[in-house]
Amino acid sequence: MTRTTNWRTTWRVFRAEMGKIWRPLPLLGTLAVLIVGSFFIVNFTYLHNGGEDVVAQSAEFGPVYDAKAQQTVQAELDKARAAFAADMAVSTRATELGITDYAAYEAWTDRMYSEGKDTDPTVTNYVLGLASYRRINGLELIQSQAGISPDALRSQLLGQACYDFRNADDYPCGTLPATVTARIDDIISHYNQRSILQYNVVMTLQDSGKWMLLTAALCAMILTAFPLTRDRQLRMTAVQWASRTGRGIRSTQVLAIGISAALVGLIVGTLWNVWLGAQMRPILGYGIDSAMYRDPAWFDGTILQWLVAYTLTAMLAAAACSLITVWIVKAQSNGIRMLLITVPLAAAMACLINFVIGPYLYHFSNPLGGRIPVPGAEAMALTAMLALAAALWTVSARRIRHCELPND
Amino acid sequence: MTRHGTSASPPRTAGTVGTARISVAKARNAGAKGRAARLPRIRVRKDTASGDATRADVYRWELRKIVRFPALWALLALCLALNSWAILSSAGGLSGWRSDLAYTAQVAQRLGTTVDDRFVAALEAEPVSDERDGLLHYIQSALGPGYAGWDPIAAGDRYAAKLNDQGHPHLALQMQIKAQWIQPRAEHLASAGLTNDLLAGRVTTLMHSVNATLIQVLLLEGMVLGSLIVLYAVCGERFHRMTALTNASRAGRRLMTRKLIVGIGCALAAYTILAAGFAIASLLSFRIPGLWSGNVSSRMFGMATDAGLQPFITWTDFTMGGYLLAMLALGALFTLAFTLFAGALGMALGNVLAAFGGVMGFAAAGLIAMMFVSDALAYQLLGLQPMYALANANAWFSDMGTHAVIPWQETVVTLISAIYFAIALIVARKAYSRKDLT
Repeated sequence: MTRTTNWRTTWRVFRAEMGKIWRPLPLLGTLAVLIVGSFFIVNFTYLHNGGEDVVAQSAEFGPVYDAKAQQTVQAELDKARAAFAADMAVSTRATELGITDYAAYEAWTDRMYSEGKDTDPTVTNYVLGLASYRRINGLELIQSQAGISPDALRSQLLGQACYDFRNADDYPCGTLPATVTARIDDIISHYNQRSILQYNVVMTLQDSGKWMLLTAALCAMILTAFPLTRDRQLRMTAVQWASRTGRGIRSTQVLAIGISAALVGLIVGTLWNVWLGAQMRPILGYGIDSAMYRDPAWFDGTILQWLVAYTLTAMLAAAACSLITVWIVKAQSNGIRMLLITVPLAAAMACLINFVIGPYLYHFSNPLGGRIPVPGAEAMALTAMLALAAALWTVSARRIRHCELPND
Repeated sequence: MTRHGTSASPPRTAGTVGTARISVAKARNAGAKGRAARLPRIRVRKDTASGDATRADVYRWELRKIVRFPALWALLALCLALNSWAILSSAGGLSGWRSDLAYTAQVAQRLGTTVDDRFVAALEAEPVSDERDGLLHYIQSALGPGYAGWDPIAAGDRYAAKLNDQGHPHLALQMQIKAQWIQPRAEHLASAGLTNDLLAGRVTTLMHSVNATLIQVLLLEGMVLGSLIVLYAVCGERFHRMTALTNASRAGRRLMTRKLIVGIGCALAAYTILAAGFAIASLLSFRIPGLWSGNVSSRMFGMATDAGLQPFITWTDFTMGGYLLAMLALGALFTLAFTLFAGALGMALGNVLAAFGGVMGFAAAGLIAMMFVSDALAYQLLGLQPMYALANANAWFSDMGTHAVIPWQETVVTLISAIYFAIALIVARKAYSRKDLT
């Protein structure tokens, strides 16, 4: 056979293998897992928490908290205080108590607390219902969080790193890994490029992203666990093993499984990307490094870049989990045996992603990053799993070519 | 094509325990020659497929088929190991309460297991430590002796108000009626002095929470393992290409009932092994004097609900040990419900993967409904399935706040589920017999 014919044959086998993987019943199972996972993905989204539009709040003052944004925040704060004073003038009870503006309201509540007295419920309930009061709180929060000095920020980030890497409450806590301090220095060096994304945005990315990773991996495992066992049930394995050529296409089969799994990861990740991207559209170009929280990420990048990074990680997770699972399961003599092996493996992979790889992906708080303080430790772990799977399959494929009567 | 059991059916094999044996083939030949009227009654051994095997033989062979399936034992062993590890590590301080458990055990040994004024005074006299302060603070912040300061009617009113806000006055009324049923229970527990047991001290609530989570894991294991066992029993012939052969005769098709009986029995046996392992690991892990004989409705055990901190009042008196056994028993009913469902789907679909997918899909949909549905009426309606019990495992046999409208609701729901799955199984079994080409 010529080389061209070989490639053609391989391509035809690959297509046939893909056809065996993407069959209705496994696809139905995959779809069911995707639907179940979607409930969790949607449930762990906090972009409309308490009726507040978190995305609009994050986008209001632009992508960077620079001098212009600071002036805008101050101007908005002054407006909100004026509106609050106007609201107070409407309330007879507040006027009786001498509460004419926000400063007077704060002084009154401080005095009540210091004297151990309860505040007037009429006034308190009235104030809590005011839009101007909520506006002042939101703007003051921005000023208090974003207005701290670089040194204070560095101290807070080091304190967070102590908590993440040394289980200590505060800095100093012994020697922190060099990669961690270098990353904190890097964040400080970009002090003026920080965004003012609300913490709910990054929490949404982390939590719904974790469920997306889990869904992608499980969907890929469901889809790819069947074909080899089905081949054996249809007595195809024996036919395949009967010739060198037949045994030689094992690599093509594994390639089809790996690509199918990665494709499932890509599909699930893209669906998540589109859905979440549409909700976060105004802030897609904003940096993840925000002045509003102290949860340092290992990498800079915009929200859009992070969404893409999550999708790529989903592809990696799906391929790695599937290839390892299928290598362990291989071709079982019946569906029950396959399920008895696949179900605990799927549970183990789900635990791995849910408790180790997925939480706070690419952030200091990630459980794996806490043990291996290297940027991108999660992707490295998944790549190592994929490399292990590739090595196992390579050894299997080579051994099987030389076997007289293979067992499987 | 004629239906099975009519003119084309093989000769009937029913009869009394046989003495004179005539082979089925010989009888058929005799019939073919038009001498059916004079054919002597075929006497084969009762309920046999071929005249060679008794009913017991068939049961034994089906049982052997399941018992000699190594992968089942491997999964069973894995589940046992996982459960034991989880229980042992939770008791061993994985959650940071090892010292509190050890201190409670010492205190129970020295001061007794009844939390009264004498106990509190003696505890105050104990050497100062974080554990002592923690226990003392917990006792003082818990509900008073006999649930002093707690009003079940007021709690019921708060639940009712919440349901009224959702626009369900009938459910709200039922909540108030339920509160009236709880009141005598609370009075009984208080008058019998059952509210003052120390149990596990300040970690009682946490321990119960961990235990409930582990019970949920056990239920899931029972559900998966039980379904797979029944599916193996029902669809196992397909893997050896024997389905067509067995279904070719009435006697062969009758085997299905025996397969179901053996499969369901094995599924329950597997669950019993898991449950026994769970109970043994729990008893060995939490060795606090008086813990397992103390009443589960002790005031040391509080539930955070929509109506604030509530005592854990069960519909009948349970010791902690009795409560654990009752939970495991309900778990058996839960497993039974899913094995019946798996059997029905296995027969109806004839495909292991589709049937297993159907069971898991039903379970996932049920669990999602219980997790994400917030409307009280929808919750009750969608809760008529076994995952209702799994989702509320931390409050079994108690009033369950707004999640239950009648006493023992988790038990009733699981029982109803088992009944409708049993009906589905019977229907599927009859349909299986009527199939022309299986």
